[in-house]
This record gives sequence, C-alpha cells and structure tokens, in this order.
Amino acid sequence: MQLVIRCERDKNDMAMHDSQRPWSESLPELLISMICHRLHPMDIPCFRAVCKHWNNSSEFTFYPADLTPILISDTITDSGLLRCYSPYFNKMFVVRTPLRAPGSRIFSLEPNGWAMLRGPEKTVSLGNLFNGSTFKTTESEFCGGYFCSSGEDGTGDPELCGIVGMYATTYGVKFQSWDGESTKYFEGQRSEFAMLQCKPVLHKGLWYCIGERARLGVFDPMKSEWRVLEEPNGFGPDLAYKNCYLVESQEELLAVLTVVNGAPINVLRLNEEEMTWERMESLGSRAIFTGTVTSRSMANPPVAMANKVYLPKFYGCPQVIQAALIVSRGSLGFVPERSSSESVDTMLGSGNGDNGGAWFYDLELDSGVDKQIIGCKSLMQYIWVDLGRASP
Amino acid sequence: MASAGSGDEKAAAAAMITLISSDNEKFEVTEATATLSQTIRHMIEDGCTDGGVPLPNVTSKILARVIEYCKKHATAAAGEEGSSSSFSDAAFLEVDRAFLEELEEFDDAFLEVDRATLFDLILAANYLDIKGLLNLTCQKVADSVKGKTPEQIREMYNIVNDLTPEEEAEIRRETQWAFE
Repeated sequence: MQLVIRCERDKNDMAMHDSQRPWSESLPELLISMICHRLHPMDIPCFRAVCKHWNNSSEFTFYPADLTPILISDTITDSGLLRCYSPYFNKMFVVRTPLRAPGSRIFSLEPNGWAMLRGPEKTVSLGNLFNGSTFKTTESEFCGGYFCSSGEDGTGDPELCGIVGMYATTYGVKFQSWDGESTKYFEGQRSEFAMLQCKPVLHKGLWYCIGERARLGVFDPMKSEWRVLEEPNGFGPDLAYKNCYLVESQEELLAVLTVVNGAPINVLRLNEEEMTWERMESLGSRAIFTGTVTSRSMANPPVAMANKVYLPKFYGCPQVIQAALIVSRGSLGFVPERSSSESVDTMLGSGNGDNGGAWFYDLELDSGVDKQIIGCKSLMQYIWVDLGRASP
Repeated sequence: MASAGSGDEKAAAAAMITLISSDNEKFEVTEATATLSQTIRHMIEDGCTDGGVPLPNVTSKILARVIEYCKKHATAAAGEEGSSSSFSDAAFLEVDRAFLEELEEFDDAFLEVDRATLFDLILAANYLDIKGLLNLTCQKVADSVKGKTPEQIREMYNIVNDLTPEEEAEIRRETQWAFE
C-alpha cells in the first residue's frame, strides 16, 4: 500500500514528465533504493556517487572483509554471535552464525568459513561459520597450546588438512599431529626453549616457534622432528621489548617487538643466511597486523595502511553493526542487517566512529617515537584472520 | 459485478475489465490478466471497477506494454496451476520447462526498450503494484550500471552531478575500497 501512496505523491511529477527529463530525479526514493538493493555490492559505491538523490536513496552498504585482516573474537557467544573488527573501516561487525561451539576457543578462520576450535572437552574440531556443520578431528592432549592447520599457508585444502598441536612445557615443547585418521604424539628433546605466547608460524613447510632470547624452534611436520636453532640468539642489545610476535611475510620470517605501552615498535627480519635478526627501517608497501596470538602480514594493503603495524587497539568508539557475512563474486563482505541501527550491546558503546580509528604504528613517521597509546581501547581475546586475498 | 462473480470462478475467469489510460484510451483485458496488478485486484475486490478503471498515471503507450507483460505472465501463472495437480507426469514437467524458457526469452525481449520507456515501466509497475514487472525492470537498471564509473552512469542516464565536493568526499571516504 505504501508503494501506491508514494506514487500518488509523484502524480504531479508524472504529469510533467516527458522524455527530455532526467529520470534520475523522477524516480522516487523507494524505487532508487529497490534498484540499489539489486546491485552487486561492488557497484554500490559508484551508484551512490552519481547524484544527490541516488546517494540519499541508497542506504545499503557492503563492507569488504578482505581488504585487510580482520580481528575476530576467539569465541562464539552462546547465541551464535561472532565479533569482527575491521581496522580499515574502524567498525565492529557482529555476525550471526549457525555454528554452535559453547566454551570453544577459535584458533583460525579460513575464507571458506572453516574455523578450527578446541572445545571444553579438549576436542579439536573444524566448524563452518556459514552452515554450522562441524567435524571432530583429534583430542587435545593438554589444555594450553596452539592448533594449526597444515593448510594455513593457503596451499592446502582446509577440509583435507592435517592438524598440528604444539604445547609449551617447562622444559621444552610437546607436539601432536593428526593426519586425518590418527594422532601421533611426540616430545621435543629436553631443552631450555621457552616458547612465547605466540602461535607457531608456517614458513617453507616448517613450523617456527619463537622463544625467549629471540630463539627459534623448528618443527618439521613431515619428519616429526623438532630442533631448537643455535642461531639467532638475541635481537640485539639495544632493543628492549615486552612482547614478541612472529609473522611470515612474503617468504620472510619477521619478528615484531612491542614495549609495555605498545610503542615504539621494532620489526626485525630473519636473515636466513647469517641466521641473525636485522632491524627493518621500512616495510615498504606491507602492513603487519599483530599483538594477538596470531599475526598477519599483507603485501598490498590499502595505500594508507602501508608501512604500518596494527595492534588490536583503537581510539574512540567504533560503530557496532549487526551484519551478515556474505560471499559475493568469491570475496567476503559484511552487509548490515536491516534493523541494525540499534547497537547490539553496550560493550563498546554505540559510537559513530567519529574521531576514532584503529591504532597503528607508522614505521616512517613514528620511528623510535613513544607514540601516544593512552586513550586506546584494546581488544583482548581476539585473533587476526585473513578472510580473502591472503597474501602473506 | 463483484457480488455476482465472486462465488463463481468460471464467471470470474471470463470477466473482462476495462482499463483507461491517462490519454483516455480503453483496453479490454481479462480479469486474470488485470489482477496481476495488486492495485487493480484491490479495486475489483472493492467492487469499484464498473465503468472501467482510470489509470491517470499511465500513458496508453506504456499501458499497452504492461498489458502485454501481464497477458504473458497470467498465462504462465495459469499454466503453473494447471500442471501442479499432475506434477508426477514427466511430460508435463517438460512442457513446464519449455514454457519457463519461453517466458525468460519473452522477458529479455520485453526489456529491449529505450531508457525513458524502461523508466516509465518501473513507475507503472510500482503504481500498479505488479511485483514481477517491478523486479524485472529494476534488475535491468541494476545490471546496466554494472562495472560502470559514476561518470559513465551519469552519461548513460543523462544525470547532472549535483553532489557537493564534501558529499563526494564523504562517499569516497566511506567506500574508498571500491575506487582503489
């Protein structure tokens, strides 16, 4: 009935209408909106940028989830909500999933929707965010540790992947590996390797763990061999740091060092010939997303994000939007749900995103600076995941 | 007429409705064709179609096209109802499929119109509340801007850019990813 009423209002327009008249103005808002809803998400920005009337009539928006890594909460709420923070949009998307995993911790999430989880009963399983299906893989031997999929470097099929579990113990590291059928357990030789709170990183087919004093431990999943490398041993005398994160980036192993307050941040590259850590002056076009147990690097992020290190911190109150995670032309994006104007909760307040933004450390501008980090909020218990054009 | 025909489906099917365009041209259509329009269906239900249905928002040129669409799709709807009672019959399913294909071809050909006509069809479909036609025409416009820049779209539809630089910057800021 509303449709008809709208049109009645435009009756005068119609009477005046002739073929000369630009139809953009004569189409009522409702019809422009209907057309907008039929657009491919990628076409909406250009559609809106045509004229005032089209812009005002198009409230439908699509936020790509693959422009940068996304911070996701490492648990799914009992009602099936997953929080996803985009540093690019500075928005918190709350996504509803049919996947139910009470008390489970998420270790990873792939663009095809598969998440690796460990349940309260120590069961390690794969669960799909889109359709809620799950399948159990192996039992976790201990409570702590990290679980990694052998498909993590993007070369394997996540559904056919093997799983490696790694646990830091007082005197070394223990492992378990699951090949799709059975689980094997083994223990690294007693060593003084103290693994840091950082998920192992797959680099050239081997799992690298970072330990205290910049030491590296390497696990070969094919041979089930573990060794602690003699070198490197230390990052250098001048580099004080509190936390250290290991990142694989364009075939290189990087270590990101943060201090108590976050900044200054130093990025070091492993020189694999000399087996030493070298401080990097610049990341070039790369951006690093770290500060959680998982870290990601991106070779070609949006231009403004190049040569920056992002931690799970932001200023102000990001807008909280209830959204659906959809696949469109092979890429993932967040689409706000119709009735999402009200904030779903008050954890972050109902900010409008003004004067806020993701916190970052600019290697060029902030080099050596104790960048103001006060006034930032941190997202605890979040992990960085790649939901698209993964380019490590 | 409504009271006489409402209980008798055969009578209703045979009933004719007169539609009158803005330029006073009269079109005789079956009730089945006319009731694809929810607006007209409501008028029939309210019994106010005696003496014809004036449609002051629709020109004869556009009304003729709309009726052409409704006739085709009313037949399709009737065909679907007829076959649903004997859906186990493979031959019927085959006929159905062929008919759906034919309908798609019809729709494609139907949309081969100039932009002004397409525009009038959208307005008419909206006014007459014909969901299928509205979907079809809106989708046509959506498809036409696919992969186009704002400048190309403006040119295509003869639209003047009245956005202020601030508004343009705001849209760009919100949707920068699409322009990179």
